[in-house]
Amino acid sequence: MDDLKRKSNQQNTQQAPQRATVWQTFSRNKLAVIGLILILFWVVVAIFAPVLATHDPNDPIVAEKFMHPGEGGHILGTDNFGRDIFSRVVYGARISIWAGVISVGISFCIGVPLGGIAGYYGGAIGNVIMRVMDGLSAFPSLVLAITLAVSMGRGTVSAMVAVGIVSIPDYARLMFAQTSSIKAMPYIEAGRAVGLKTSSLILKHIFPNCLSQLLVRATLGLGMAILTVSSLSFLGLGVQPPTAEWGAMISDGRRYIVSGEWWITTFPGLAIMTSILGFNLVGDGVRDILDPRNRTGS
Amino acid sequence: MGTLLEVNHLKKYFPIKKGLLRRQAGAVKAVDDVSFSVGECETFGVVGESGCGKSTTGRSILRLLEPTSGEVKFDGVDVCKLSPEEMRKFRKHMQIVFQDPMSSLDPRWTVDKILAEPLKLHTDMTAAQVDDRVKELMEEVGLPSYHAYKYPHEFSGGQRQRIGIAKALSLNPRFIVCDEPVSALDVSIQSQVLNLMKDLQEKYKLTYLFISHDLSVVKYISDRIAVMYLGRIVELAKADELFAHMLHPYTQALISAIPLPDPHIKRDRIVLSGDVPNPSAPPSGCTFHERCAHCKQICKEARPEFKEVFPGHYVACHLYD
Repeated sequence: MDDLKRKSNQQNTQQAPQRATVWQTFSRNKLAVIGLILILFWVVVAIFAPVLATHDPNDPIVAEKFMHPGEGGHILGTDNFGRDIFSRVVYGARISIWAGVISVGISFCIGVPLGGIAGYYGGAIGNVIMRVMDGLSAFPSLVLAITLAVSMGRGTVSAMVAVGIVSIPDYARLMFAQTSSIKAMPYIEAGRAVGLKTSSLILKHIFPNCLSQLLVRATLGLGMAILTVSSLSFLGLGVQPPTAEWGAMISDGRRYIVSGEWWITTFPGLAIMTSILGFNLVGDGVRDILDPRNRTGS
Repeated sequence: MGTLLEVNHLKKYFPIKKGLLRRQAGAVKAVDDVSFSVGECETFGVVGESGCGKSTTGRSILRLLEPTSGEVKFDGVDVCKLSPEEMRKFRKHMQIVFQDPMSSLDPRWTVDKILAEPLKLHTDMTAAQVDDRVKELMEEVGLPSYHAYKYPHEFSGGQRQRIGIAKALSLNPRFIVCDEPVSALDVSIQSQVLNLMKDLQEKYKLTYLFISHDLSVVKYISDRIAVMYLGRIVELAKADELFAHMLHPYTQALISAIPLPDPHIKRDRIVLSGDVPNPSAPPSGCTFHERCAHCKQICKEARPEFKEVFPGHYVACHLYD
């Protein structure tokens, strides 16, 4: 008896196994860590752009055009106007990361509530919302983005907004599917049985259970948004010259690939590739973290 | 023993919608005119095969499903007439324990949050009081309180069902609908959970509506048992009385189907022919007549009245007219 008591006392005082921290779960996925490093790299570059840049990104020096990487103090060479490519890539990070965050923010903040309402209430409201979303996504996304960007006038902001609007249906549909399946779960009925209001049912039980899917989508969406804004800039609809932006830089340099000035397009291209890769890898890692079955309590 | 719950002519029809305009083409009569009453501190068992409407009955009483018509009187209050806001507040008196304890607990919440939720909703307890009550509840259902910060998936099935019971108990309700609370559990765990529920009933003067398809479980825990078939109660009696003198042919068939522990005992098994009819187009007269061995002409024509054949023993069958 004494023995038993001591044992149970021990159990009570014994520290339960520590909760696997978010970082531990995440770091198990090596690719996600690489992705995070890539993202952090670009965020740091964006923040410290004025410190890192060796030249004024928008200042053309006619005498120094088409310099090879490393020539004349230009780490990555200069473009057809004699602007320093390194400094332009560094400043371009600011635009691209903003473009990603703002456009994903727009589609998330509009798409998720719409999908949630449609999924929870269903019926006529749900049908109307989802059919409008179907209509939006019936257009090829880049064509729709171009149309919207042109109609709002050329410029950085209109490109971001256009990209944001184009991907609203993605989030709405994801949230719709998640909400419709989660609202049928017994723990939602259990919530109603204890007398929860509809609003707290949605905010406390349905939304948090959709969040993992949404975050994965949003992280992947950041990469896509950066790419689409770059595409618009490449087509001359997004960021206007002379502002440094990766897509626009590739557009400027594309004529010179054939004549041998490869560095003008290659470095912004690499920048786009690495940043998108970073977000995609992290997206997969986030999926693992947010699965509660990977979590243990204390 | 006073009456706590009175159910009168409860009906729950689910509309079947068809076509482009979603016109109503018919209805599944899940619960079709059910009446019974449950006394205070009584365990009222409801048995029947799957799809017979027993869970729908339980959910309609709690208004988790809105009844199509009928009256549910709880301690004199007509539950069906409460406004949504009044109903929300009234829920602290009547709780439910679900069948599947895994999916009825939010997988993202730790046990302490799950158990604290009803308390924060219906009481003015301080955070410390809530904490104490959560610990007390866990001990009450036989879970060490150091499990409070774990997630539902870290428990075994039996432990999870204990959490479900603790949650139902948290507001000191008077009435709990137990919707197949042990059918997802191992047989060895079933008896533990059943005994826990019996103990809690005695301690807190609880009234149970115990829904199950397992006759031995219902026999063990219930004071009175109602047998449901296709949305209707066909027989209702005290537990011992029902097993000793089953009157309805359907009850006889059900009881003969209980597995016996000794395989050498020979018995007359009543095997029903055919399937449960479609509840959207139930047979005429007595809904059981197509499968009944004692079917008479009147069974095909008139719905049998649900009436008292012996004191406290009700049956809906023309054989006892």
